[in-house]
Amino acid sequence: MSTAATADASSSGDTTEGSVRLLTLQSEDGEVFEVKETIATQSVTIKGMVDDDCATSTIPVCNVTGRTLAMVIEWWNKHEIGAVSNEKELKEWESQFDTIDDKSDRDDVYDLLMAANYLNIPTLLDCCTSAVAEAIKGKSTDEMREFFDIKSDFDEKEEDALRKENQWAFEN
Amino acid sequence: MDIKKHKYHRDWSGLPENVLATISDKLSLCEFLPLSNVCKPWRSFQKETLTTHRNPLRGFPWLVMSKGTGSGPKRCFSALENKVRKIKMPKADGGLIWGSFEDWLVIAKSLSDEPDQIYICI
Repeated sequence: MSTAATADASSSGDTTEGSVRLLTLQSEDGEVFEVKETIATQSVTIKGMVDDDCATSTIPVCNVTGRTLAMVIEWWNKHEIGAVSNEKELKEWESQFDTIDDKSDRDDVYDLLMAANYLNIPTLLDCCTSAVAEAIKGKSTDEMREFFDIKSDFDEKEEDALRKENQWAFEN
Repeated sequence: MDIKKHKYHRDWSGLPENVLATISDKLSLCEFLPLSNVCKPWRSFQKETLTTHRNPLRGFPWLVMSKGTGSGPKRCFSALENKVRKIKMPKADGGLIWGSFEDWLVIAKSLSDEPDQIYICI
């Protein structure tokens, strides 16, 4: 996955570029991004702030690192109306999120999921959850634990009960 | 731009419930069920979801095709997936599948016993 090349802002607060209003977003690790308001409002959270006139100074995007925020901004840029010439091209670009078999892709999709959830970006949330759902399909419980690096928090007795419950497991 | 790889642990078991819900909406019942045994948060989410949430992929009942009072896996037809699934139902062994009501499958074990009810998730 590539990251967006986005210029860091030299000043905080909202500015305008031509007739386009720019918003200043700051990641949890202090990286600052200037983003067109028309693009950033793909986030329902940010749109709410703009509508309520609360987006006049730097918007802190807590819980989201600069690296992830750059990916989110790249997502917004690609999904701006008219940014890509057709639906097919957009789908091709989105296909990089389809498989999360690589650990690094999985980490990226996790970060994007949390960002999409925090910033309320329905299109990004839909794309990332599809990738996770595809990864879950066909995996047993143990395979899922390994894939998502989840340690069982059931005690021995509970694990035994689960195994018995597995008698309900479905066979193809 | 300085690209930093973050080393912190991504806690998939701690995914927010609405994120889990969006993921589970994209799964059929058979794909969804194994989630409950992965960890406690996923288990409690699934328990809650199966009883309160209606998913279009899981909204159509299966047709139980096994006859008689035999033991062994019961064959069920899922019209949505166009697949026959076999389900092990130890509690139903030796019982007669009598019928179903809402999400319940009613098994009659014998004339002298009370009908044994088994919850089936559909």
